[in-house]
Amino acid sequence: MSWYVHSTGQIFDANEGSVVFFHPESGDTHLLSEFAACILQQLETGPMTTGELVEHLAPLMEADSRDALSDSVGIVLEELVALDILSRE
Amino acid sequence: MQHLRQLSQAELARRLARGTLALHVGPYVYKFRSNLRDIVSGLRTLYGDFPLAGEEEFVDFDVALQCTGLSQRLRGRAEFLFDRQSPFETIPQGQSYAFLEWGMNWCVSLHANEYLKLHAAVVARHGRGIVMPGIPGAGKSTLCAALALSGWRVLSDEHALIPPHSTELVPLCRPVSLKNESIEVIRSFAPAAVFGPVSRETHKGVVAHIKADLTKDSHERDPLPAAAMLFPRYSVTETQCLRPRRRTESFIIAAYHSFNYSMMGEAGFHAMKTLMETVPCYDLVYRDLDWAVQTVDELAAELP
Repeated sequence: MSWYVHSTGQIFDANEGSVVFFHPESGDTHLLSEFAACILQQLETGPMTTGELVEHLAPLMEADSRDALSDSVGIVLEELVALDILSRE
Repeated sequence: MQHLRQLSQAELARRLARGTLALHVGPYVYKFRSNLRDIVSGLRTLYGDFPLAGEEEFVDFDVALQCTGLSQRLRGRAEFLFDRQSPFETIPQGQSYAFLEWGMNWCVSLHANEYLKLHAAVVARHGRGIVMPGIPGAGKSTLCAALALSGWRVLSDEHALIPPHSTELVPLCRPVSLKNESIEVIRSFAPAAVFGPVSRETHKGVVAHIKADLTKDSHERDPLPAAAMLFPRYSVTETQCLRPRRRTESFIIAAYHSFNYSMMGEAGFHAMKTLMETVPCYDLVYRDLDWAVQTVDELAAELP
C-alpha cells in the first residue's frame, strides 16, 4: 500500500518545531509538526509505502530504531489522511 | 479640507436628515443619514476632527440609522440601513449609536476584500504599527483605548487592513468601542477621555465609544509598516508578562480571527505568510493598564 498527496501544499516554516500548512484543494490551513511536514515533502516526490518513507526519513531524523520511526510515521500518516491531505492507494 | 466640527449643530442635523453628510474614514468615504439625536451628538463628539468628503466624491458605504414610520416611532425602535436596505432587525433607539458603529464595522467586514482583514486593534508609534488580535473579551479594545490616551496613534480598533504582498497597515481610525467594566476602567485611567453616547442593554451589555483620533496624524492615509503582533489578554489571576510567542501558532490564531482569510484562499495564506515572516509575535498578559502601556512603550522602543 502506498501513500500519496493530492496536491502540493504551501508551507510557512519559522523553524519553531511546527509549520503552517495550506492545503490548496480544501482551502484549509493546518498547524503541523515539522515531522509531518517532512513526511509530506517526501511524498510530494511521488507515492511511497510506509517502508520506503522510513528509509528516506531515517537518515534525516537520525533515528536509531527503524521500528520506532515506523510506528511514528504510521501515526502521522493516519492523521494526515484524516485531514484529507493524504490518501492510500 | 473642511472637518465635521466646522459644521454648526443645525447644519450637521440638516445634512444628516437629508443624507448628505459624508466623511473620509481611512481609505473609505461613508455617507450618513439619521434623524436620531444620539447619532447627531455622537458624530459631533467622536467624529468632529474627521474630514468632510465633497458631494462629488465616490461613496463607499451609504449608511443610515433611522426611526421611520409610525410603528417604529410608537415602539421607540430604529433601524440600520446600508444602501437603503435593512440587513438587520430593528433595535431600541437607545442603542442607536452603538449600532451605527457596529454597522460601520459590518460594512468593512463584509466588503473591502482588497485587503487581508484581521480582527485586531492596530496602534502605532514612531511610524510603525503593532497589530493586536484578540478574541472578544481579551482586553484588546481596553488596551487600545489606554494606548490612544497615552500618545499612541490608533489605526483601528477593529480591522487590521493589510494589502496582500506587503507588511503594511492601512489606517482606518475610528472611535474605540468599550464594553461594560472597561468603560469605568478607562474613565479612571484618563478622566479627560471623550466619550460618545452610552448604549445600554445591548447584546454586548453597556457600550460606549471614545474619541480615538488624538494624534495630529490620525487621519493621514499612508500605510505604515507592521513592526509586531501582540496578543493582549486581561487576567486578574495570572502574572503580568510580555513574552515571545511562536509565529506559526500566531499565524493560525490570527487567521482564525480574520474576516476574509479563508475567502482569499491561497492569496490569504501568502498575505499572512508575508506578514508573519516579518513581525515578531508576543503575548501580553496584564491586569494593570499603566503597566501594560509602559510595557508596550518599551517594546516599541526596542523593536527593530
